[in-house]
Amino acid sequence: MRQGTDSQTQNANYNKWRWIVLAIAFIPWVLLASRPLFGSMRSTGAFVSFLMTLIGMVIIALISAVMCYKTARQFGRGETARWAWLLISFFSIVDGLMIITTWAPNFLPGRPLTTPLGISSQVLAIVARGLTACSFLMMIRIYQQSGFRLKLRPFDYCAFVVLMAAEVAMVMVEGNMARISSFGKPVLEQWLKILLPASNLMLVVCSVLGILIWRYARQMGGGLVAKAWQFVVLYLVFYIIRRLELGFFGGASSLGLVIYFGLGFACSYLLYLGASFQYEACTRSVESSDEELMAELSALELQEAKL
Amino acid sequence: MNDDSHFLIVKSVFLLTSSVGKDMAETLIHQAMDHIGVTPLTLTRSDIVKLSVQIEPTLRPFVGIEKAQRLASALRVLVGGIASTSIGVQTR
Repeated sequence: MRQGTDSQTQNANYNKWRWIVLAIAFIPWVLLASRPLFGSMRSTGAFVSFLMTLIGMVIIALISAVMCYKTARQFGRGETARWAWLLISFFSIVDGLMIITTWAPNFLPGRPLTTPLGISSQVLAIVARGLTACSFLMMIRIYQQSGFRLKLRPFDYCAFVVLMAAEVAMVMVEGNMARISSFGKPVLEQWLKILLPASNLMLVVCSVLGILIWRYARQMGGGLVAKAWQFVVLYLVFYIIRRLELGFFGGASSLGLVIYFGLGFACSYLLYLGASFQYEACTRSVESSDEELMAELSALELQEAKL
Repeated sequence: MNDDSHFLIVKSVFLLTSSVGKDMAETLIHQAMDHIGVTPLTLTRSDIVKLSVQIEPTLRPFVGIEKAQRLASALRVLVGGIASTSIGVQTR
């Protein structure tokens, strides 16, 4: 009986942290959404709420990265899954850095560091996306080695088409993205116009592999590991939508900013959820009494009989 | 398939379901049975130890080393009916 109570406490702990991180993600976004209440867009209140949102977004990206790292540590040294989660963690760290280099120059106008920082963060983003594609490839290899057969469905082909359309749209707005991220610095804008196509190409590779992972996860028939990887793929989808939103609407309007940061928070939170479910899969206790297992089994049989 | 072997398989799958999902658990268990040379028809309680040894490395990429060990020992204890003290491994 005690084992059962322990297990319930453990589950409550996992859920408690998920709610805490959701609050961390949600509160700064609410602050940003209520920015018009602070008066004009250029007022101190609005400026502070924007700064808080930016800090919140970087924090949530880092929390997700830490969770991915904690998850990676559950796997043995040199194990493929450990590398996969470490590389995803790196992606989240670079995402935090990208947010800083994209928006922080608003607070430091005229600083000479903007150009090298912008270029280096973009190069890092290309590397991180390439590595994330590698991590997806590693996970696909794990699925293949386990003897699990991939069966693509019409939905997956539709997802391919939609994601490819999104990538094409992203190529179309590359110029706009370069203009927004360069803060009127022509050298940086030129560099971004060179780097962004490579960056987007990496996202295309990630999306294709992401769809395969999604299907593998769906075929697993439930379970925490499947949940984890589904959230990771959703993170990627939201990441692409966020990039598109930036390209189409930029920071031009208040609503555009609210949507952009909303997507950003959702995106990082989804990654946190993915890592947290994988962590739960690695650390949650096994049903340890025969009575408990038998009770669960009979409940399952009852459920199946009802169906 | 006799009732006993069917129940052993169902119980084993159920033990792994919350972590790796029902279909993946079935795949891994059937693969492990292939490796130890038993079929769903001939599986007996005494095969569970070999099955658990076989399944442990295949679980590692999904749930990590520690959980894979715990699941394998839970298989021995809860499905194979071997007392946890006799194998020196705890399920938690």
